Amino acid sequence: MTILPSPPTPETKVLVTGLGWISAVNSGCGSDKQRPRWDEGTPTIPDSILNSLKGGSRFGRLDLFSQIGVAAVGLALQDAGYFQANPPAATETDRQLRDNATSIALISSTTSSCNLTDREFYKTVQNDPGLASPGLFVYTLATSFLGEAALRFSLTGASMAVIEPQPHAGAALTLACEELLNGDDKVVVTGCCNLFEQNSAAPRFSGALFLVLEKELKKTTRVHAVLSYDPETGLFFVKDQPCPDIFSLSELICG
Amino acid sequence: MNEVVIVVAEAVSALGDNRSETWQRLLAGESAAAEVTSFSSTPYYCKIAAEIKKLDSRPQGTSRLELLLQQLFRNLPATLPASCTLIGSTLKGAIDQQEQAWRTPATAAGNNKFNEFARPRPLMAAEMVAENFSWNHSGLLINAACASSTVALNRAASRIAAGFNDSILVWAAEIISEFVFAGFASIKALTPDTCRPFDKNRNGLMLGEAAAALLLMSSAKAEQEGFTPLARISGWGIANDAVHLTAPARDGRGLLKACHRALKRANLEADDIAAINAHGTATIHNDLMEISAFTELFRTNSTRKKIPLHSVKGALGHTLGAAGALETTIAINALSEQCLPPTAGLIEPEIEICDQVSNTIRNFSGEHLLLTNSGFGGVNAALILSKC
Repeated sequence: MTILPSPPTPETKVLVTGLGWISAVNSGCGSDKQRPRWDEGTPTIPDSILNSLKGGSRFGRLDLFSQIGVAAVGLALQDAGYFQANPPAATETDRQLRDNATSIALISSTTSSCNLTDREFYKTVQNDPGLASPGLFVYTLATSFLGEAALRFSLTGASMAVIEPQPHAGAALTLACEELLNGDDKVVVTGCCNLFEQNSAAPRFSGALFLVLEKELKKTTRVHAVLSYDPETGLFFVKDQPCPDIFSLSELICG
Repeated sequence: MNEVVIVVAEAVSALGDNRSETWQRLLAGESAAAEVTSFSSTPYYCKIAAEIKKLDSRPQGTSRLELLLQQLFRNLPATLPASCTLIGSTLKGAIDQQEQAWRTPATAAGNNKFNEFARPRPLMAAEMVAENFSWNHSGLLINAACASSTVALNRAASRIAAGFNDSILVWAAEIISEFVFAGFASIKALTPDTCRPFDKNRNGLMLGEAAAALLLMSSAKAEQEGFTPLARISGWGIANDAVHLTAPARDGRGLLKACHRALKRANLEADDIAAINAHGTATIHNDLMEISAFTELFRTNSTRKKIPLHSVKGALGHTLGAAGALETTIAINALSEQCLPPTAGLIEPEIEICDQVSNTIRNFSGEHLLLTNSGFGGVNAALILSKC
């Protein structure tokens, strides 16, 4: 994302109503009293977060790329009030989600994609082609975790991933803002999910960070920040400060 | 909102080096189904695919994708408007090179550039497209499973309609690989014999490979650049089933929602649609889901409008992320000539659509064609093509 000298016009503003992240250092959501921190290492999902998410006890069948992506999406939605953490029963979460008549879109960026899962799947092909793992194959798409998130959280809007050379999520943020301004969905969960190899030479951090963006203020909505977007240039501002990537954007929101 | 038109549409498929040849052979009822030759199919219960056989004879170390894209580039204008940008889709890009790297011991041990993930395979394909046009930016690379290029066209149309861009080249490419073949075999989604979309006795899909590109412009830009529009993209919509990771919603709820969104965007009623290019993979569940969705979409009180529909996947195979772009190039011909090609492989249609789908050419009369694709993760995308 490039930086503009001045904020764009107010007509292109969207609301940030939720934020959730999973990293190798910490995990949380926008209403927590902490900032997302990023460092090398393999992200893990704390049990407290896992238990708070719908279907958290069934995360084991997902590949790690999908686990961190789904968890971060779930945290962002919880933060935006689309469902409660730790519902009294699974059926209660289902009811809350059903009651959300809002059609929510899901647009993610990724740089790593599911490359580690791809390799694990291909090992099973090499071992015995006729017995390649179906359980791994279904996670060899950059969008598999979006499907998992959609079915767990009843997200029936548009869903897509953008593969980007650098993990700044600029492409996803751009598409998300365009969806809010000109598309069919008035709520979009957007961000990035990456799982890099530990010994990778590239200095990139694994983890997932998602925002809930909305076009209009609802009476129950808490607004973390107003995100200005210039469709002509694809540039973003929070609190009149330019955001070169989603990480600096989250810093400004949590700051 | 700007009117969005398609001014260039080209394809390379297992039935032809270009759109025209592919169309003619589809009309002739041909199928590219043949025994797989790009790798050994011995370990698999399925032995067939719609391969582009000339890609087998390539220099050592070259990806099939590279040759495929080179053939596509030969069909396209050498230069594009300076304001043009790129939106592409490929699920696995040059996955054959990645397979080769994984098979190399040094790579497997982690001492090779392929382990750095600095340039994911799909991005390398996007860079190849950008390099061909001497652009320094590879644009957007969209992944939405088997609806990827339909979603890419969707986004391109949306950007042009909103005035963010006046010219976008949408490209898509997918190759046959053992990685993908073994995967679909592992979930028992491949047909062991013949791919029969919408047939009562269908038993699975056939993989295919293809590349396609479509140049979209605002009608004002097309006129300024001297292009004659081939068709309009008048509607688009995307929706998720939110039901299952790999299986489609039985009631077709996501596809139905995507179609409703496309119709609303186009300011049309379902009755305005004259023909359908269905996803039609020939898996039991996908085709049933589509039949459910289309039955509901075209229901008028107690009656149902019986709109001709077809699938190209019995002839060209399932080209995954490239399917939507490839099928859009074919739909342009269908709309122009007011006929749908035969659905290859079809013998005994499902009863609900027995008067809609055929293994012979189906003529129709109308201005608008609905094109849909669906994929893993519950994604569904719809486009409405209209005559200019």
